[in-house]
Amino acid sequence: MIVYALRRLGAIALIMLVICAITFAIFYLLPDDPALDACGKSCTSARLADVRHAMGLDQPVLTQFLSYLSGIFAGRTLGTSGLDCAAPCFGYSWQYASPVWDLLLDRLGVSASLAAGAAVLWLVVGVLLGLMAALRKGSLLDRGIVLSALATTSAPVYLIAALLIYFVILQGELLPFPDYQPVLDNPAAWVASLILPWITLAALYAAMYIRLTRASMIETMAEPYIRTARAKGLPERTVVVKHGLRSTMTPILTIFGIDLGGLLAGAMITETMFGLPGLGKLTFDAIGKSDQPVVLGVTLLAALFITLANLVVDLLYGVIDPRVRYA
Amino acid sequence: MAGLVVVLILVLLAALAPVITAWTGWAPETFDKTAIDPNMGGLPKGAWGGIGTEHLLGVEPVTGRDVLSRILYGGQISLLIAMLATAITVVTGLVLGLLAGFLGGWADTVISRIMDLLMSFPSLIFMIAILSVVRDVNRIVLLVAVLSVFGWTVVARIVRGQVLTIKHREYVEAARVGGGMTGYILLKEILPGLTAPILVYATQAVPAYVGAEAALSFLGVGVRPPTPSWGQMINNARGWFMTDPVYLAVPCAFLGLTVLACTLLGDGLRDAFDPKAVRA
Repeated sequence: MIVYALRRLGAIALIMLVICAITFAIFYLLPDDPALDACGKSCTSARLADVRHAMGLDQPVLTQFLSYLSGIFAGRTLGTSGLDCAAPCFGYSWQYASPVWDLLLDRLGVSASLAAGAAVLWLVVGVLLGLMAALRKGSLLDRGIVLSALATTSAPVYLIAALLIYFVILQGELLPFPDYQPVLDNPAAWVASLILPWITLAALYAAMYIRLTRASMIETMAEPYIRTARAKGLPERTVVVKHGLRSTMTPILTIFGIDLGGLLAGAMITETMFGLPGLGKLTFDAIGKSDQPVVLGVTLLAALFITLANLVVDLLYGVIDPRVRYA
Repeated sequence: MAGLVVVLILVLLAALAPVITAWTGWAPETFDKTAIDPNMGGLPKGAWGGIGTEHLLGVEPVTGRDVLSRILYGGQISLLIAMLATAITVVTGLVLGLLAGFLGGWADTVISRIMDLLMSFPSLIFMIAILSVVRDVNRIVLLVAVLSVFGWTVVARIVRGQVLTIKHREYVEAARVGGGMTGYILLKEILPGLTAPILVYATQAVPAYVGAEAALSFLGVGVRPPTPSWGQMINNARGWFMTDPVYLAVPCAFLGLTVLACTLLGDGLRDAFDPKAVRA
């Protein structure tokens, strides 16, 4: 298993390198000139050349790329501007006048809080409701759950967010408008600012978990080994949880890993709707200002999350399902 | 069944947009200053976002453009992009998946590695990045291209997996022993076995692409004004929903209805194709 994990980590490093190269190439070969933005309105061609030189943009693309890569591990000085960027250096945002890594770290807390809370919510709600529907298959409860799952998957995230803001914040005045506070500073305000975004995001994802849990639970409960477990006289609880739910968890875990890894981008609209200062909002703003170093940094970070999440899921397979062996 | 009917109605409505707008008399770009109240900051006159006999789904704040007309023309764009992207991803995924699964060897290695790479890409962020830097290209073509580049891997994975299981079945072996050419075996023996999963995938891909187009337009990198699209209407409405919630609700409802109908259609198709499935 260790050899397997190490080999997968090697593959991840390679994938990250290729993604980095492609993203880098696209940004630096396209007509958008970051020096022109930094230079300002009254820019002469001589000054532009100076700015380009200071930012290191007059170097060949390959040189720029290699210095970007080495900067990640060793840190670097940017161009001839004398700005120091300590390792891990993912470039420097000229718009925010700050190293990209600091910006990412700054916003990561918001996105992680949003993702973690929403993921717990949708996993618990999704699996529980799916389980309830499967055990009472065909009943009114089952139909109600399936129908509401269908409705929430179809409802656009904008609508859910807008409805929550409209009825809970504006009409009901139950909550203030989200004003993010770090969890350690003020746990109550942290929850208050995130509860609606959590619900929005969870509503988006929970429906799929309901459908998935229900479908595979119905299939599993019809298996002969469940009948055997019942025939042995095991309590129904044990049969459902230890024998039924355990084998249902494998497909759910796969989807959960993939969803969680992709949540950085998935939460972008939710962050924008609620005005949460997370990584999604940072990306959105950076794109508007053509702040390429930030976009490059977020792309790499998001890709890293996706690949690592996939690896963790594959490793957890062995824990949940002992039949899985790593070659 | 209900899903199929609703999907057909939506497609028909979008296709007949010019006819319907000719009948209502409001083109998507026609301003109607009489339908809005300048003293209220440009809010539509009347309750419910200006819904009435003149404007069946109300009007846009400030400009007074007819919402129904913009929904219909926006639907044309949204559905066109979604269907084109689905068609391209299905064909590309089918061809590459068949090649990878059937040929094996280095073809499989190359195609599978490309799929791994594309699947690790944070596609939404990357799409936004590309769409924001590429300026002078037709937005619809660009959107279809970007969605397709990241979409085909799903089809290719399904096809590759299916081909790997089908290609050693007795009937395929029999065709090969009988002297069938590779092309013949692919087309006549393997392809028919792939129809069901691909058709089901396609019905799920269309709403996913409608949603993706809406998301990209909402984030301001999709279809550019004045061309209407649902995502763009939602983005415009975002600033108004506290005073004119109907303006937000209408495009959201159409988006939701499309997704719902396509999901029902996909579920129905899957049940119809899967002999094991019990109708719920």
